[in-house]
Amino acid sequence: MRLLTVDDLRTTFRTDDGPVGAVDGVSLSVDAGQVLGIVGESGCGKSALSLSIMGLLPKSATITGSIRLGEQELVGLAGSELRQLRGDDMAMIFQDPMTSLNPVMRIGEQLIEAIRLHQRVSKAEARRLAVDGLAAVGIPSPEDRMRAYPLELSGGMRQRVMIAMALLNRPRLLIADEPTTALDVTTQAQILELMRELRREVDAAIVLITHDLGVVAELCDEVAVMYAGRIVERAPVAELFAHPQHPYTWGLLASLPGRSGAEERLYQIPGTPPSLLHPPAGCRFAPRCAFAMDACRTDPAPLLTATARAGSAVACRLDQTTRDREGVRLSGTEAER
Amino acid sequence: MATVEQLEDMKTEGMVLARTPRQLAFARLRRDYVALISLAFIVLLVLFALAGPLFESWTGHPVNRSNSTGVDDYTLLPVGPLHGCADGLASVGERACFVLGASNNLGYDMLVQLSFGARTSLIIGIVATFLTMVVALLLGVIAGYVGGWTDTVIARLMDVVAAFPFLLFAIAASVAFGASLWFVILIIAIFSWFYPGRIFRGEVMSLRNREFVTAARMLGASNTRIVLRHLMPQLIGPLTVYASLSVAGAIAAEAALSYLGFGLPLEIPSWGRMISDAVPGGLYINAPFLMVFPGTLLVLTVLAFNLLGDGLRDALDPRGGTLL
Ligand SMILES: Nc1ncnc2c1ncn2[C@@H]1O[C@H](COP(=O)(O)OP(=O)(O)OP(=O)(O)O)[C@@H](O)[C@H]1O
Ligand SMILES: [Mg+2]
Repeated sequence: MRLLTVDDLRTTFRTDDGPVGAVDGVSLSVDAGQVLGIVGESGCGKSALSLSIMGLLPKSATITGSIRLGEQELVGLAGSELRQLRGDDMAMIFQDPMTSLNPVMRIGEQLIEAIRLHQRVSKAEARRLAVDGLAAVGIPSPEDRMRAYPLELSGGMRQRVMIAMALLNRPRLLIADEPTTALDVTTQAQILELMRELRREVDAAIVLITHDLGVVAELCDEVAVMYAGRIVERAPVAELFAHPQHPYTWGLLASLPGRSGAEERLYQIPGTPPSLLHPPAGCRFAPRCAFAMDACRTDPAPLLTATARAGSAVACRLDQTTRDREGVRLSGTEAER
Repeated sequence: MATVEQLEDMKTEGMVLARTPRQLAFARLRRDYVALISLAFIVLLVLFALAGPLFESWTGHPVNRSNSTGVDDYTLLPVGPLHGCADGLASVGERACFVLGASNNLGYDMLVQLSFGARTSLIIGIVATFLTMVVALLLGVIAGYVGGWTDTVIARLMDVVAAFPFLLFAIAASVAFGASLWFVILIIAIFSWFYPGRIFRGEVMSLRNREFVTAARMLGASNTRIVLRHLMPQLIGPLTVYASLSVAGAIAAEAALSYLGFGLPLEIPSWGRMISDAVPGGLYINAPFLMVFPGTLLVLTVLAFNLLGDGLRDALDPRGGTLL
């Protein structure tokens, strides 16, 4: 069942220097029980996209297009109606658990508040649910932790609390915006393990935002590659790794450790991402793309279903044969085999 | 090189790291002797103010009542401390001794007047501070949280109030409306809310963009709830600091107005007026205690509230960061 449908979403921030088109015509969809990964470099608009879906953008942002949760249109929804959905039907996990919990409220108070915002239950019942929630994300002696303040917990524990909080009201949509980026490597692995378990248990559609393709490979069903506010490629995970279609994706894959074959140094895509304040006219990757044609510099290619590849779509002018050949060669998939 | 004391400090800081900010603040406050002494003084002052009726019945000198025995028959000066106490403290009424002397040339009892003056000062300090803080919180939080035009209007209003010359305006208004207890309280509150208001506005502005506020919104909390449940508790620190400073300011302002004769009506005892009573005819030259007693008490009281406020600030924000 299709749970989240985003259609031609555009999110623009008003700034002193002019409008910044952080999300520029993004379309995507996620089914219940599926995990969609969104990957892309820092600043490509991943957080702007997730905040748009949650309706959490600052006042300086305007948004057009359509976001549907189930059948319900979210764009243009009144604040009070959106508030009822947030934390109940959809929830989000933030990047930095150090800052996303209120430092002067006990963990328990925050969890109980989250429950009672959406469920008509007694304090005692909410308390029981909160303890269960903490136990479910693998927090030892949850009863004691309820009384703790956030700064008494380690980063990993805090992120578990944040995850528990997001799951308390059994949301249908869960957005995780780089849930492990702020954590050390061992903790990252533990949180990913937790996400993997939860994936099986909660029947929610999950959008997992990351700049780490390794995480995508482990957790996601589908993946969308974002570049400078647009989705340039979307594919089932296995397909993306086996037959990457977009030159930007090739670069991303080549820069993964262990994939660039004989070369010692990690591959880096030449050039830098464009400023979203003054983006290039055509394909936004064209200035960095070795295959760019004249047409690429004036008109972006639309995101079209790749002819020979089931379930994937790519926004690129290259013909299928070239894409298949170069993709395998440049992204280092061959070396892996 | 680190001294033993600093090492001791570092050790305790390290040990208390796992405690909550509030516990940390209390731990720091407990080591701040200046603040503790100030607090002790304030407690004693409150007891002294509450004891007013006791002093009245003990001396037999009701407040605001002239006593012929309180004025020296020959010099016509108010009698000095311990006047008539040679026979012990037993006698009552007109003939009873003046422990701290008389407070003016009508022979009011200094001890009784000081005690009731303390009562006045504390009431004005507390009520004016309460009003000040209510207005400051309301406008400061609204300006900081809502932002935009609302913020611009409130911020300009703060600037305007800050630019007003308080004494000039208060004296003019006192002449126009006539002074009363409420007048003094209101005029003080009207001219003091802008300062803590600015602090609260700044605090809320920086808090509102913190991620935990976004997280609370993510969970479906309304703006009202975010302000009341998530932001207000973080303002308790600055609130206590500026409340303490504001009490000091209000007490000093009342004393100034009453000294100038534009403050409280005559039937309400006031330290400021007691000081001004010593001025006509150079009374204070022959009877300096007339000025010394209320003056010292006023200075110590204002100092105590100010030092307590400073101590609270240091305790809540040891690195001198956001509060000032
Ligand atoms: N509140 C804002 N006002 C103005 N511009 C913003 C705002 N938030 C984000 N942007 C801009 O929008 C673009 C996308 O930002 P976003 O935070 O979505 O990137 P991201 O992909 O999440 O990056 P990261 O991986 O670093 O989190 C950036 O160019 C950023 O400068
Ligand atoms: Mg981000």
